Amino acid sequence: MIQVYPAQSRYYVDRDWLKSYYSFSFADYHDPENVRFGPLRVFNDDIIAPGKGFGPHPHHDMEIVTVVLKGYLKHEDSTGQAAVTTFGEIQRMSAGSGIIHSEMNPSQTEEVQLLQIWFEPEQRGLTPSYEHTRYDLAQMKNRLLPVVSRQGDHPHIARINQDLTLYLSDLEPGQQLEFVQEPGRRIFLFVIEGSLRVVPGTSDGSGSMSNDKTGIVELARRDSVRITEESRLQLHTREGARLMLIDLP
Amino acid sequence: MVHVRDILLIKHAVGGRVIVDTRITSVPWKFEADPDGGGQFTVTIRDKETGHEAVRLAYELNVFIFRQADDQIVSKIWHYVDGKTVHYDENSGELRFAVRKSIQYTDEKISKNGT
Repeated sequence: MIQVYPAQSRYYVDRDWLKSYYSFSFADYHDPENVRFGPLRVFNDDIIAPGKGFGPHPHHDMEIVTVVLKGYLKHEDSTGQAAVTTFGEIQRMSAGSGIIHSEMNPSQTEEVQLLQIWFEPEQRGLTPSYEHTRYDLAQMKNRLLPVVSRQGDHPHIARINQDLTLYLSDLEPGQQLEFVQEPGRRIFLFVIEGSLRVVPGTSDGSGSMSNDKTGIVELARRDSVRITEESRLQLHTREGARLMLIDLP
Repeated sequence: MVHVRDILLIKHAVGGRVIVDTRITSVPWKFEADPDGGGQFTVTIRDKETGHEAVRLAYELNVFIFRQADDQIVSKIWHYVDGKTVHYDENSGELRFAVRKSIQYTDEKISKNGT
Protein backbone atom coordinates (compact mmCIF):
# COMPACT_ATOMS: atom_id res chain seq x y z
CA MET A 1 0.00 0.00 0.00
CA ILE A 2 1.28 3.46 -0.90
CA GLN A 3 -0.07 6.50 0.91
CA VAL A 4 0.80 9.80 -0.75
CA TYR A 5 1.32 12.96 1.34
CA PRO A 6 1.60 16.03 -0.89
CA ALA A 7 3.93 18.78 0.34
CA GLN A 8 1.01 21.13 0.92
CA SER A 9 -0.70 18.63 3.23
CA ARG A 10 1.99 19.18 5.85
CA TYR A 11 1.24 21.37 8.89
CA TYR A 12 2.92 24.77 8.50
CA VAL A 13 4.17 26.95 11.33
CA ASP A 14 5.65 30.42 10.88
CA ARG A 15 7.27 31.84 14.03
CA ASP A 16 9.11 34.62 12.24
CA TRP A 17 12.57 33.16 13.02
CA LEU A 18 11.43 29.61 12.26
CA LYS A 19 9.41 28.24 9.41
CA SER A 20 8.49 24.58 9.81
CA TYR A 21 6.54 21.99 7.91
CA TYR A 22 5.50 19.04 10.08
CA SER A 23 4.80 15.68 8.43
CA PHE A 24 3.62 14.18 11.74
CA SER A 25 1.90 15.46 14.88
CA PHE A 26 4.33 17.78 16.64
CA ALA A 27 4.14 20.67 19.09
CA ASP A 28 0.83 22.50 18.52
CA TYR A 29 -0.23 20.21 15.68
CA HIS A 30 -2.05 17.14 16.90
CA ASP A 31 -3.76 14.66 14.62
CA PRO A 32 -4.31 11.33 16.40
CA GLU A 33 -4.34 9.64 12.96
CA ASN A 34 -0.91 11.04 12.10
CA VAL A 35 1.31 10.34 15.09
CA ARG A 36 3.78 7.82 13.70
CA PHE A 37 4.86 5.56 10.88
CA GLY A 38 6.41 2.61 12.71
CA PRO A 39 9.18 4.07 14.89
CA LEU A 40 9.23 7.28 12.82
CA ARG A 41 7.61 9.97 15.00
CA VAL A 42 8.75 13.34 13.70
CA PHE A 43 9.77 14.60 10.27
CA ASN A 44 10.17 18.37 10.32
CA ASP A 45 11.32 20.50 7.40
CA ASP A 46 12.77 23.61 9.08
CA ILE A 47 14.16 26.95 7.97
CA ILE A 48 15.90 28.89 10.75
CA ALA A 49 16.71 32.58 10.35
CA PRO A 50 20.31 33.86 10.71
CA GLY A 51 21.51 34.04 14.31
CA LYS A 52 18.42 32.25 15.63
CA GLY A 53 17.66 28.74 16.82
CA PHE A 54 16.50 26.46 19.56
CA GLY A 55 18.00 27.31 22.95
CA PRO A 56 18.80 24.68 25.57
CA HIS A 57 16.05 22.09 25.91
CA PRO A 58 15.82 18.40 26.90
CA HIS A 59 15.14 15.21 24.99
CA HIS A 60 14.89 11.62 26.15
CA ASP A 61 14.38 8.19 24.58
CA MET A 62 14.46 9.42 21.02
CA GLU A 63 16.95 8.98 18.17
CA ILE A 64 17.21 12.35 16.45
CA VAL A 65 18.77 12.68 13.01
CA THR A 66 19.39 16.07 11.43
CA VAL A 67 20.17 16.44 7.74
CA VAL A 68 21.30 19.95 6.83
CA LEU A 69 20.28 20.94 3.31
CA LYS A 70 21.70 24.45 3.24
CA GLY A 71 23.63 26.67 5.63
CA TYR A 72 25.08 25.74 8.99
CA LEU A 73 23.68 24.37 12.25
CA LYS A 74 25.61 24.60 15.52
CA HIS A 75 24.91 21.94 18.14
CA GLU A 76 25.96 21.86 21.82
CA ASP A 77 24.85 19.36 24.43
CA SER A 78 25.18 18.29 28.04
CA THR A 79 27.50 15.39 27.17
CA GLY A 80 30.08 18.01 26.22
CA GLN A 81 29.69 17.59 22.45
CA ALA A 82 29.66 20.57 20.12
CA ALA A 83 29.71 20.62 16.31
CA VAL A 84 28.68 22.62 13.29
CA THR A 85 26.87 20.64 10.59
CA THR A 86 26.41 21.64 6.97
CA PHE A 87 25.26 20.08 3.68
CA GLY A 88 26.91 16.71 3.15
CA GLU A 89 26.88 15.98 6.86
CA ILE A 90 24.61 14.24 9.34
CA GLN A 91 24.16 14.67 13.04
CA ARG A 92 22.70 11.85 15.09
CA MET A 93 21.78 12.32 18.72
CA SER A 94 20.62 9.45 20.92
CA ALA A 95 18.77 11.19 23.72
CA GLY A 96 18.55 8.03 25.84
CA SER A 97 18.11 8.75 29.55
CA GLY A 98 18.23 12.48 28.93
CA ILE A 99 20.25 15.17 27.24
CA ILE A 100 20.08 18.95 27.09
CA HIS A 101 21.03 20.48 23.77
CA SER A 102 20.79 23.62 21.71
CA GLU A 103 20.70 24.07 17.94
CA MET A 104 21.49 27.47 16.54
CA ASN A 105 22.14 29.00 13.16
CA PRO A 106 25.63 30.46 13.68
CA SER A 107 25.48 32.58 10.52
CA GLN A 108 24.44 36.21 10.80
CA THR A 109 23.52 36.38 7.10
CA GLU A 110 22.42 32.97 5.81
CA GLU A 111 19.40 30.91 6.82
CA VAL A 112 19.79 27.21 7.57
CA GLN A 113 17.51 24.62 5.99
CA LEU A 114 17.33 21.20 7.59
CA LEU A 115 15.31 18.05 7.99
CA GLN A 116 14.97 16.89 11.56
CA ILE A 117 13.78 13.33 12.02
CA TRP A 118 12.91 11.59 15.30
CA PHE A 119 12.74 7.83 15.73
CA GLU A 120 11.80 5.80 18.76
CA PRO A 121 14.81 3.75 19.90
CA GLU A 122 14.79 -0.01 20.30
CA GLN A 123 15.45 0.41 24.03
CA ARG A 124 14.68 3.11 26.58
CA GLY A 125 17.19 4.53 29.01
CA LEU A 126 20.26 4.29 26.77
CA THR A 127 23.37 6.31 27.52
CA PRO A 128 23.02 9.65 25.67
CA SER A 129 25.38 10.08 22.74
CA TYR A 130 26.09 12.33 19.77
CA GLU A 131 27.69 11.64 16.41
CA HIS A 132 28.60 13.86 13.49
CA THR A 133 29.38 12.21 10.15
CA ARG A 134 30.18 13.33 6.63
CA TYR A 135 29.04 11.44 3.55
CA ASP A 136 30.50 11.48 0.05
CA LEU A 137 28.23 13.52 -2.22
CA ALA A 138 29.64 11.81 -5.31
CA GLN A 139 28.61 8.43 -3.90
CA MET A 140 24.92 9.34 -3.81
CA LYS A 141 24.72 9.97 -7.56
CA ASN A 142 22.23 7.54 -9.11
CA ARG A 143 22.37 5.18 -6.13
CA LEU A 144 20.92 4.94 -2.66
CA LEU A 145 23.69 5.90 -0.26
CA PRO A 146 23.17 4.73 3.33
CA VAL A 147 24.01 7.61 5.70
CA VAL A 148 22.39 6.34 8.92
CA SER A 149 21.97 2.71 9.97
CA ARG A 150 21.86 0.46 13.02
CA GLN A 151 25.13 -1.15 11.95
CA GLY A 152 26.90 2.15 11.40
CA ASP A 153 29.75 0.01 10.13
CA HIS A 154 31.43 2.71 8.08
CA PRO A 155 32.94 6.06 9.09
CA HIS A 156 30.50 7.82 6.74
CA ILE A 157 27.41 6.13 8.23
CA ALA A 158 25.94 7.38 11.52
CA ARG A 159 24.97 4.62 13.91
CA ILE A 160 21.41 4.63 15.23
CA ASN A 161 19.72 2.60 17.96
CA GLN A 162 16.89 1.35 15.77
CA ASP A 163 16.57 -1.25 13.01
CA LEU A 164 16.43 1.24 10.16
CA THR A 165 18.53 2.57 7.33
CA LEU A 166 18.27 6.11 6.00
CA TYR A 167 19.45 6.59 2.41
CA LEU A 168 20.06 9.72 0.35
CA SER A 169 20.27 9.86 -3.42
CA ASP A 170 20.86 12.36 -6.20
CA LEU A 171 19.12 10.93 -9.22
CA GLU A 172 20.19 12.57 -12.47
CA PRO A 173 17.63 13.38 -15.19
CA GLY A 174 16.40 10.25 -16.93
CA GLN A 175 17.87 7.90 -14.34
CA GLN A 176 16.15 5.24 -12.24
CA LEU A 177 16.76 3.15 -9.14
CA GLU A 178 15.29 -0.01 -7.73
CA PHE A 179 14.75 -0.73 -4.05
CA VAL A 180 13.93 -4.21 -2.81
CA GLN A 181 12.18 -4.36 0.53
CA GLU A 182 11.98 -7.23 3.00
CA PRO A 183 8.50 -8.51 3.89
CA GLY A 184 6.77 -6.77 6.77
CA ARG A 185 8.87 -3.62 6.64
CA ARG A 186 7.96 -0.01 5.84
CA ILE A 187 9.38 2.61 3.49
CA PHE A 188 9.20 6.37 4.00
CA LEU A 189 10.18 8.24 0.86
CA PHE A 190 10.64 12.02 0.71
CA VAL A 191 11.47 14.13 -2.35
CA ILE A 192 13.91 16.80 -1.22
CA GLU A 193 14.23 18.42 -4.66
CA GLY A 194 13.00 17.65 -8.17
CA SER A 195 10.34 15.15 -9.09
CA LEU A 196 10.01 11.40 -8.95
CA ARG A 197 7.86 8.62 -10.33
CA VAL A 198 7.37 5.69 -7.96
CA VAL A 199 6.47 2.39 -9.60
CA PRO A 200 5.58 -0.43 -7.26
CA GLY A 201 6.05 -3.96 -8.46
CA THR A 202 6.45 -7.54 -7.39
CA SER A 203 8.97 -10.09 -8.48
CA ASP A 204 7.64 -12.79 -10.81
CA GLY A 205 10.28 -15.15 -9.54
CA SER A 206 12.59 -14.86 -12.52
CA GLY A 207 14.12 -11.60 -11.49
CA SER A 208 12.05 -9.46 -13.80
CA MET A 209 9.53 -6.91 -12.64
CA SER A 210 5.80 -7.03 -13.19
CA ASN A 211 4.54 -3.54 -12.65
CA ASP A 212 1.15 -2.72 -11.22
CA LYS A 213 0.51 0.37 -13.31
CA THR A 214 -2.45 1.44 -11.22
CA GLY A 215 -0.08 1.99 -8.31
CA ILE A 216 2.25 4.42 -10.07
CA VAL A 217 2.72 7.63 -8.12
CA GLU A 218 4.09 10.95 -9.32
CA LEU A 219 5.82 13.01 -6.64
CA ALA A 220 6.98 16.63 -6.63
CA ARG A 221 9.35 18.59 -4.39
CA ARG A 222 8.70 17.90 -0.67
CA ASP A 223 6.02 15.28 -1.35
CA SER A 224 6.34 12.04 0.58
CA VAL A 225 4.93 8.53 0.55
CA ARG A 226 4.49 5.94 3.28
CA ILE A 227 4.73 2.45 1.86
CA THR A 228 3.83 -0.93 3.31
CA GLU A 229 3.39 -4.36 1.75
CA GLU A 230 5.48 -3.60 -1.34
CA SER A 231 8.47 -5.80 -2.05
CA ARG A 232 9.99 -3.74 -4.87
CA LEU A 233 9.98 -0.14 -5.96
CA GLN A 234 11.31 1.51 -9.06
CA LEU A 235 12.14 5.19 -8.76
CA HIS A 236 12.33 7.13 -12.02
CA THR A 237 13.01 10.80 -12.63
CA ARG A 238 12.70 12.84 -15.79
CA GLU A 239 14.07 16.17 -14.52
CA GLY A 240 16.29 14.85 -11.71
CA ALA A 241 15.59 14.35 -8.02
CA ARG A 242 17.28 14.49 -4.64
CA LEU A 243 15.49 12.06 -2.34
CA MET A 244 15.54 10.42 1.06
CA LEU A 245 14.40 6.83 1.55
CA ILE A 246 14.04 5.32 5.02
CA ASP A 247 13.75 1.56 5.42
CA LEU A 248 11.83 1.02 8.67
CA PRO A 249 10.57 -1.89 10.78
CA MET B 1 16.31 37.29 52.64
CA VAL B 2 16.30 35.63 49.21
CA HIS B 3 12.90 34.64 47.87
CA VAL B 4 12.94 31.44 45.82
CA ARG B 5 10.02 30.53 43.58
CA ASP B 6 9.61 27.03 42.16
CA ILE B 7 7.39 26.36 39.16
CA LEU B 8 6.35 22.85 38.13
CA LEU B 9 5.84 22.13 34.44
CA ILE B 10 4.79 18.73 33.08
CA LYS B 11 4.31 18.41 29.34
CA HIS B 12 4.35 15.91 26.51
CA ALA B 13 7.83 15.63 25.01
CA VAL B 14 6.64 15.38 21.39
CA GLY B 15 3.24 17.00 21.19
CA GLY B 16 3.87 19.70 23.75
CA ARG B 17 0.54 19.17 25.50
CA VAL B 18 0.73 20.76 28.95
CA ILE B 19 -0.40 18.55 31.83
CA VAL B 20 0.60 20.88 34.67
CA ASP B 21 1.93 24.44 34.62
CA THR B 22 1.77 26.03 38.04
CA ARG B 23 2.32 29.48 36.47
CA ILE B 24 -1.15 29.10 34.95
CA THR B 25 -2.90 26.92 37.51
CA SER B 26 -1.52 26.55 41.03
CA VAL B 27 -1.79 22.97 42.29
CA PRO B 28 -0.34 21.24 45.38
CA TRP B 29 2.81 19.29 44.53
CA LYS B 30 5.94 18.00 46.20
CA PHE B 31 9.23 16.43 45.16
CA GLU B 32 11.03 14.10 47.54
CA ALA B 33 14.62 13.68 46.38
CA ASP B 34 16.52 10.43 46.77
CA PRO B 35 20.22 10.42 47.61
CA ASP B 36 20.98 8.69 44.27
CA GLY B 37 19.76 11.64 42.16
CA GLY B 38 16.24 10.33 41.60
CA GLY B 39 13.11 11.04 43.57
CA GLN B 40 9.34 10.90 43.82
CA PHE B 41 6.80 13.46 42.61
CA THR B 42 3.29 13.80 43.99
CA VAL B 43 1.05 16.25 42.12
CA THR B 44 -2.62 16.97 42.67
CA ILE B 45 -4.62 16.98 39.42
CA ARG B 46 -8.34 17.38 40.03
CA ASP B 47 -9.31 17.03 36.37
CA LYS B 48 -9.57 13.28 35.84
CA GLU B 49 -9.13 13.45 32.08
CA THR B 50 -5.84 15.31 32.50
CA GLY B 51 -4.71 12.84 35.16
CA HIS B 52 -5.37 9.88 32.89
CA GLU B 53 -3.72 11.67 29.96
CA ALA B 54 -0.55 11.93 32.05
CA VAL B 55 -0.63 8.15 32.52
CA ARG B 56 -1.23 7.60 28.79
CA LEU B 57 1.83 9.73 27.99
CA ALA B 58 3.88 8.23 30.85
CA TYR B 59 6.90 7.34 28.74
CA GLU B 60 6.98 10.66 26.91
CA LEU B 61 6.70 13.18 29.72
CA ASN B 62 9.04 16.08 30.26
CA VAL B 63 9.02 17.25 33.87
CA PHE B 64 10.69 20.52 34.86
CA ILE B 65 11.15 22.56 37.98
CA PHE B 66 11.94 26.19 37.11
CA ARG B 67 13.66 27.79 40.09
CA GLN B 68 14.00 31.55 40.32
CA ALA B 69 15.64 33.42 43.17
CA ASP B 70 14.59 37.09 43.14
CA ASP B 71 15.87 38.61 39.88
CA GLN B 72 18.38 35.85 39.14
CA ILE B 73 18.38 33.82 35.90
CA VAL B 74 15.87 30.98 36.05
CA SER B 75 17.52 27.66 36.81
CA LYS B 76 15.78 24.80 35.02
CA ILE B 77 15.86 21.27 36.38
CA TRP B 78 14.66 18.60 33.96
CA HIS B 79 13.70 15.20 35.39
CA TYR B 80 13.81 11.82 33.62
CA VAL B 81 10.52 10.08 34.41
CA ASP B 82 10.42 6.35 35.04
CA GLY B 83 7.36 5.71 32.85
CA LYS B 84 6.30 2.50 34.53
CA THR B 85 5.85 4.28 37.87
CA VAL B 86 3.36 6.89 36.63
CA HIS B 87 0.08 6.35 38.47
CA TYR B 88 -3.06 8.44 38.87
CA ASP B 89 -5.60 7.99 41.66
CA GLU B 90 -8.96 9.42 40.66
CA ASN B 91 -10.24 9.47 44.23
CA SER B 92 -7.40 11.46 45.74
CA GLY B 93 -6.59 13.31 42.49
CA GLU B 94 -2.93 12.45 43.04
CA LEU B 95 -0.52 11.79 40.20
CA ARG B 96 2.58 9.98 41.46
CA PHE B 97 5.71 9.06 39.61
CA ALA B 98 9.39 8.40 40.18
CA VAL B 99 12.24 10.12 38.39
CA ARG B 100 15.60 8.49 37.83
CA LYS B 101 17.87 11.46 37.18
CA SER B 102 17.83 15.18 36.65
CA ILE B 103 19.81 17.69 34.62
CA GLN B 104 20.13 21.35 35.56
CA TYR B 105 20.60 24.10 32.97
CA THR B 106 19.63 27.65 32.13
CA ASP B 107 18.38 29.26 28.93
CA GLU B 108 21.84 30.76 28.51
CA LYS B 109 24.10 27.86 29.33
CA ILE B 110 24.49 24.13 28.94
CA SER B 111 27.11 22.62 31.21
CA LYS B 112 28.67 19.24 30.69
CA ASN B 113 26.42 16.64 32.34
CA GLY B 114 24.01 19.47 33.00
CA THR B 115 25.55 20.33 36.34
